[in-house]
Amino acid sequence: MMSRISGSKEPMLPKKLMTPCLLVSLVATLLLLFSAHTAQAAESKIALTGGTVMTVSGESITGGVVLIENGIIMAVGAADTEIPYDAMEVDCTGMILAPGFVDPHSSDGLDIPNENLPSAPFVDVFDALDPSRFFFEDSLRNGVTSIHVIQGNNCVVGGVSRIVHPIGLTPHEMSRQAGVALKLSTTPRRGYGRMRQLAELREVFQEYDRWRENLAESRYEQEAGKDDDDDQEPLSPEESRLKGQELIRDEDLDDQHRHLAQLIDGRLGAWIYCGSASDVAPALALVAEREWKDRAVLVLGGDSHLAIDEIDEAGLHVVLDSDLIYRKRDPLTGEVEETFIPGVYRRAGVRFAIQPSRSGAMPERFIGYQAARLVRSGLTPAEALRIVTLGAAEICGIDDRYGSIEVGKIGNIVMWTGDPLDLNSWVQKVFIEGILAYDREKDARLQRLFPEVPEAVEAPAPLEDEGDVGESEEKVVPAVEAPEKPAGEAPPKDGEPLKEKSSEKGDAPADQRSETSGGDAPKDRSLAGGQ
Amino acid sequence: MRVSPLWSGILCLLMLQPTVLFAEGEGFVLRAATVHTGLRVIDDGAIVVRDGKVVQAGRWEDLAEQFSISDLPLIHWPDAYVTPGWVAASSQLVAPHPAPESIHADFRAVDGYNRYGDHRPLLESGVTTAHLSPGEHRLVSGQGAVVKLVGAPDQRILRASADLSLSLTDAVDGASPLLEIPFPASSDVAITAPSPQRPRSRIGRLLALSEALAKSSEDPLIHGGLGAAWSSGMPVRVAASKASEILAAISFLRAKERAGYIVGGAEIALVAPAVAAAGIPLVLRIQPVGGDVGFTDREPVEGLSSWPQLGPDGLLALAPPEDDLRQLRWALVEAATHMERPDDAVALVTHHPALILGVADRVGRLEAGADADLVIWNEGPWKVTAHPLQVIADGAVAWKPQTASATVIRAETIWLSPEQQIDDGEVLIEQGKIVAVGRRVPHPPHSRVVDAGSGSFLVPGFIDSYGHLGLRQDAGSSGTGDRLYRLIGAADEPEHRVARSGVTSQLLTPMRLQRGAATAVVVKTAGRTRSERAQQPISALLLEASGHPDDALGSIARLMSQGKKYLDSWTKYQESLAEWEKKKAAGEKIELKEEIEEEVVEEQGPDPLTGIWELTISGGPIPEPEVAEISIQLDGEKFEGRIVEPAPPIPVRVVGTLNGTTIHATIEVEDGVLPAEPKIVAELTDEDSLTGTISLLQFTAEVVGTRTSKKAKSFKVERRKKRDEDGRPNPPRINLALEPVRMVLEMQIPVVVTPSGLEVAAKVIEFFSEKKIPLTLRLGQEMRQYRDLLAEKSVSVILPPESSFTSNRQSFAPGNFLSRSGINVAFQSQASDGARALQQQALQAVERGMSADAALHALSGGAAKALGVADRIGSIKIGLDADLLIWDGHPLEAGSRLHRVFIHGEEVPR
Repeated sequence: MMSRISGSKEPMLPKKLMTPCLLVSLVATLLLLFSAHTAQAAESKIALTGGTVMTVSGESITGGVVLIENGIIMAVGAADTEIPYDAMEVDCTGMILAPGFVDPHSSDGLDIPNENLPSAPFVDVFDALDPSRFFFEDSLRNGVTSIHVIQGNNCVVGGVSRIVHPIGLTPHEMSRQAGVALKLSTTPRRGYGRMRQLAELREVFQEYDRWRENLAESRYEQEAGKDDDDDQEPLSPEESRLKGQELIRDEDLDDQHRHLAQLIDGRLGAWIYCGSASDVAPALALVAEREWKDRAVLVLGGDSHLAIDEIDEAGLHVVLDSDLIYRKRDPLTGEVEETFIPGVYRRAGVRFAIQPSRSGAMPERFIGYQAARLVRSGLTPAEALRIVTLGAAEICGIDDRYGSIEVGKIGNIVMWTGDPLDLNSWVQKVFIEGILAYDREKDARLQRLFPEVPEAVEAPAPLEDEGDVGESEEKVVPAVEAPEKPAGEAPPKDGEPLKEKSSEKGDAPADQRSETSGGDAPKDRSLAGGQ
Repeated sequence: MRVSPLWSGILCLLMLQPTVLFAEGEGFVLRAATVHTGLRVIDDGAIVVRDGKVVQAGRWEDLAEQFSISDLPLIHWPDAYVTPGWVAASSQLVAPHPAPESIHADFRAVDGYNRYGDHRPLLESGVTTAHLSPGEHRLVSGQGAVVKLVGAPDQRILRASADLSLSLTDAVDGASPLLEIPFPASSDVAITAPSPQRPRSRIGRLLALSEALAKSSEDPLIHGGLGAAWSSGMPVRVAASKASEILAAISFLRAKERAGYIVGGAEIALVAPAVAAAGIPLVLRIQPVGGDVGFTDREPVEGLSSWPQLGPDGLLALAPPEDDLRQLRWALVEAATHMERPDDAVALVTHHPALILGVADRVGRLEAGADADLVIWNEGPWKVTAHPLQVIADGAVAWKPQTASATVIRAETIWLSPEQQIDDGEVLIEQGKIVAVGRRVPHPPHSRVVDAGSGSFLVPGFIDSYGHLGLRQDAGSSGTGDRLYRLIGAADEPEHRVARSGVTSQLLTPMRLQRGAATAVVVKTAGRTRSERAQQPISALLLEASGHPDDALGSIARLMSQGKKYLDSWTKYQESLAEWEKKKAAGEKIELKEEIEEEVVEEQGPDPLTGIWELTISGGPIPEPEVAEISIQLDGEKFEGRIVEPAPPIPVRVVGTLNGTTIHATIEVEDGVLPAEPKIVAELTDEDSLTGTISLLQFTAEVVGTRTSKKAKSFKVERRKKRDEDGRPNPPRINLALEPVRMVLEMQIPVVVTPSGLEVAAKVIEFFSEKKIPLTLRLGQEMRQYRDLLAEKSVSVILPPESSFTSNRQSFAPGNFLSRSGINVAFQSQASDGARALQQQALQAVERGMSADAALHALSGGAAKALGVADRIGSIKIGLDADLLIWDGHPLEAGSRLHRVFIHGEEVPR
């Protein structure tokens, strides 16, 4: 793929400019550009050096090195960590590297958060995923690198969720894990009473059980009819149902019941929304009845924390509402009592994740702000950071890949100018799978918001000008034969100039993508076609 | 004052609301005037509660003998009516389900119940347990439940599936068609038109029901699992209101041989015999108050004009109008009018509904084994003005009124004055004050009602006009600067004994008046704090007048004239302050006088007097010699000096003249502190020494002095500025000793004078009546001479302890003697806890001819008048303190006993 790109690009350049220096830088630039687009890190190596690495899983490393190869973190260590000669080095001196935040529960990436049908287990958020939503762009800006996109709460049985990266042009590009969990709700959806909600919820599973029994029976009869001779006594319906259960194949599942079957068979998690304390008990009953203990998560709202004892006893993990404070007015005295909800769960030892707000107050849309509120209310900064990274990943069941800077995990790393929970620090760069996905200096929207920022004024112009810059720079780059080689090899040790340029360029496409205005460069189209 | 902390602690606890005692405890014994256990009525009953369960119920007498309950705190509500927590057989706690299915058995009302919710406001209705219904708007609307309104969330649900809810009312007809969207809807699988549902009309209801039951026995999933619900055998709750519907319900239940009950029954009166014959329980929904009477096809049913006669075994329970729990008590009020005894109606909201709903083992009765859910009512709950005073659920207080509690005392006779009594009247007390008196007074919500019963006699608390309650023998007074007020603490055991004898207030006086004058304070015999017991620090000025008639008034007159000066200084200050304020408001410039500031810089000079003198004063009234240092500066013949040691708290100046070797000096002290200026007359006996005398009034002491230094000390004396920097006048110095006199002169408090000696009383009366100062005399036998004078000058008299005197072989009774002449009299105990015998003094006076009502007035209103506190205590009048006694007859008639004592509206515990 890579050779094809460089091949296609080469003829477009005038011969006289084909100095070795330029060639090398251009190829390297294009490579990065391309890889950022595809989100499939093709044999790229990147080393983030000099910054303070908040690994979350372990101790922070000052002046540490994070080496990402092909999107996977290959090494995390102190400054003396060996950096492969062909790795591109990004200087993070003075910066803080932290794992990207994990948004544990979001329906913001969908064109509409809920289905019209109360019970629609057959849908998948994939079909509603809208890559052009501002939400994804903003997620990068706020340091969120993995999002568990799931249907909203206004349902009885909702669709299947998935993990996405907030970068990509199509749902395919964005998706990282399909089929994480099915959304259920014990809280009445709009227009429903609680009685109706729970009756319908029970009905969905009763209907599924009956369908499954019938399917098992017919499967058994099919199988029995295939190979038997008539000697065998026909089994009773109960027995044939039991025996037929094992004979059910994936292809036997119809569209309507497939996801329910996956949920019941243990291939999908159950995320159950409980908007108030009363909704918790039915949810827990369902979890106990269906034995979902290891993969059920409660999405809580309202006064659900009143049911903390039951939740604790059930041993489930929970996702809390963005409104972290519950206010209760005493009906007799009129006194208002405030409860800091995360504190309740922390005291009980229930593992919880927090969500940013989907609407309303601006700062609460920022997950780091929510984490900072935890700190203000008594958690340590390390605990709070863990809750919005590794903790959320654990609750989503993706902690084997996300949530911390550890060898073997996906290289979703955010470069902060300071402590991620400090509201005065901001996201400088975001690497997703080791590729620069966001650079504040190239953030067109911020430039428009803060036109007076000097960096914005000095930001390099689009790619066409790059040639001039390169020309004037007159750097001695050794490898004349660079075009044939993989771009990463080109600058072995003096990564300085290249690094800066490449990082700038790495983001250029991202800017173009986010603006999605007309007049895309032809290369963009070719890249898209290259998928 | 001796206060045993243990006792006062116990007393405080007793006087608090009973709630604090068992909020956290493991049990209690509740004793009340009446206990209705749901099954029986017990007068003066008691309930033993342990661990949230009723252990025993019965008569207090029977239970009190048991040793086993002695470890539990006793809560006594002597006037309350206790019922089990009510059971509402129908409620609106859960809204009807919104689904369109006409027949669906899987809507569970318990799902709609917020068991974490705070339902405490509903407890005010007395209801602690309620039935939840999925609605009566569908033929089969689902499953009902029975829940408690309070308690731990996981303990609140008594029955999750209590019954299958059917309805045969008009509401079920014409259910909207059912739309079912197939999956996937496509050209092959079309979305069909909504299918119509049954019943369409009354005639089809039973048919549709039978059809659905038949179908559901084949397919357990249809109609929301109706088959399973039906075959589980749960009772059936049938809503039926018209007569025809009730009959249909009976025939349905009979045909299916199902246990069940009927809810509604607006037309029950028409078909009561049929219901009774079928033995089907009925939950009767009382018609709401207001609006038009509903018309049916037969005839209007007016409320409960004909009460259903369900026979002795018929189970009848009440449902509140429109299922509004707050109206359940109203339903009871209506039902009680149809009952043989109003108590019987209580079962309709307690035990009967519990039986019907299948929860009678836990709620609806206060017998052994049941939950300790109970309501403490201020009177029988069927009375219009009844309100709960407290709701207890599972043995813990779940609700009590937020508003300040009021008390209503109902008595057969309310004694207002000798002339006026109210028969069968009530007194309303709020915040310790009498708010209303009359035949019927308002009963604010949650007010306690104390029904004193027949023969009861309500009188004001007694006032002891002169006593020493709580003082030790040596508690004398050294003058008008003393404040007995400071000795008052929480009421202790002696006070409690006195209070229990009916004496609610006493003029607390020192044991002895060492200087012939002191202050006294009116003190309540109950109260937790000083301010509760005494409203003002000084209530009266006590004076003694003795000796020769010409001298007897000397010190009194002096005190009065000093007091007058003192009062004038304040009057002047107030005038100048008012003037200043006026000027300031008008924006006038206030001219500042030169500040009076005086600096005495003494020069050194070798003269016979200048220097520091050490004076030793001895003899006369001074028990031990006292030493003082004075710095003196001589200037010509005159000298001026200041006391150096002991440093005086207020400026003291010594001025005088030196004439040869004779010194004449006066000590100048600020006005009013000393009754007169001490004078020193001394002779220089030697260089640096002097001898002489110092005299103040009639006292004289000897002075011997030596000069210790020839250097006079220099002082910078800053006189009190008369005005602030902005010209605002400064108030005069407060003189504690003269404050009571000022109050007397301002007619705020009376003087209580004890005259002794011939003609002294006449002088005293003359002296004070001239000044128009309210006067009360403590007179002995000599009162005989002054009867006319006393009557003329309207002087109150505190009667001597002796009930009669004999003079000239004739006995006369002071009480009778004076009161007949219209002289205001009062009784005094002159004792500490001997004040208990005050009533006996009055009885003796009655024995000697005083009228009982006059003696009662002398004990209450008369005493209050004599002590100048008639605006606060002493009678049953609106605005006065609620210090009341409940007797079972006139207090001053033989055989009457004091039953209960209220001070500040709070009952004094036994």
